Amino acid sequence: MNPRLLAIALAVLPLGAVQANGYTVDPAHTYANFKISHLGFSTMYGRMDVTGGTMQFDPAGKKASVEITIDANSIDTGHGKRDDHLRSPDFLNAAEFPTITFKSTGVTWNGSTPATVTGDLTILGVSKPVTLKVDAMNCGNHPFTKKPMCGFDASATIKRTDWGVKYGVPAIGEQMGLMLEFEATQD
Amino acid sequence: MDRLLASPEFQALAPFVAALVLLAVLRKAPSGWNALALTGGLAVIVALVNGLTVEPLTGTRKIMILALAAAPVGLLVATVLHGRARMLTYVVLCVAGGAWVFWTVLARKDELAMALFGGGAVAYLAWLTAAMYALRAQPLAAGAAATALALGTGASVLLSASALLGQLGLALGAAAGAFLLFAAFLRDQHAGAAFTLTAALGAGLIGFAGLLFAKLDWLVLLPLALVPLAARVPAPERLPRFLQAALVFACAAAPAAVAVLGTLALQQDSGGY
Repeated sequence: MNPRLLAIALAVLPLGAVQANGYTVDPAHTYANFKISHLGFSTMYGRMDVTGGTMQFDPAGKKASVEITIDANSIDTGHGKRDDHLRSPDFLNAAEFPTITFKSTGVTWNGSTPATVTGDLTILGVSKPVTLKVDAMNCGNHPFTKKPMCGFDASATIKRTDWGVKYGVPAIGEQMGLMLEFEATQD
Repeated sequence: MDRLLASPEFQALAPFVAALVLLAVLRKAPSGWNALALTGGLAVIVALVNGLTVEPLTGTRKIMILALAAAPVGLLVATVLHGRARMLTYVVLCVAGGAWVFWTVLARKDELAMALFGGGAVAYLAWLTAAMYALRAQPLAAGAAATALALGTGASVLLSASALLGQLGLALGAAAGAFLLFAAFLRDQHAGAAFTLTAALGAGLIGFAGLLFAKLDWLVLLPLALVPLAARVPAPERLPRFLQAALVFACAAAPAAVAVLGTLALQQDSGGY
């Protein structure tokens, strides 16, 4: 091999290795779902769109991080009038706080797979730590595009009053379940 | 106890009772101090639904702060300014308050929407402040207009998807209703400029917040803006005072009722839940 080409290849290799750990969220397959008790009778489910985000994932080095942005206005429980109420100042106050964000601060590992992701969840401008349990994680090539990608399912239980969302407590559950379905394509 | 404090019945009655007690206490106080009865009624509902928390400083919490500060600030301004200068100062204060509450949301809108909503907020707040100020020397008209405007605003906003803002409006209306009750039976009751400022600022901010933060239709604000005018209908002097009060309130409540019914009609398409 031409020594000059070899030198260029060696110089570029570390950069390429770092970039290979970067992933960009696929908004069509990434959603924040939630569930909450309705008057103690049943559990109501809803979801919100994830509009963007990134992930760094290096299982060999056991390094990972994730950031996602959720559109508060996209909340959908299958009932327009209720969704309007959920967007109002009684709940998400989406006009003033149109985005909800999650930014990881730490990851625990079970072998080469993340077990939990701890991070700051920001709702109504208030940031509080939340630990997501990673229920499943898979990486591989997309069967159609052949691009490397990763996906995971994660869940947590939060107390909404910690973020100042007090309306309707305790009739409408104070505790709520969060379920994140996440897919990202390697950069 | 917590169950009692959280009950809608208690939260509806408490601001009215608090205002009545304050009015009784302030009976011999200087003219205009009745405005503090509105502050008392609002303080009760703020304590019940929000507590002392100001973080995060949302638009709703800014409205609470401004509505609670309106009467003391109005009284202070009234001691140093009179006539047109006082009225203009009130208008400027209300518009500045509106800018503080609504700017974060307006700033995210495109230029046309920002101009329309921003101009609408300025016009609505300035009109209500000036129109209510004109009633300051007529206790029955001022009390009736404040009660009808705040109750109409609160009920409309409640129906348009924000219970919290709606409760604030209803509490303000209940406190103003306590003043109207006092004025209906006692000739020595005065409304004063600070009273009209508190009612106009509170109801104006809640109404426009319903439009910007919830789903209140802008058309609903039009009949609400007519409430201070409707309250100027002169009641025959020969009638007993409480009947005069009832007549003036009926006139003031008519456009407020149109606003509430209009909200209901506009909400029907989306159904209840």
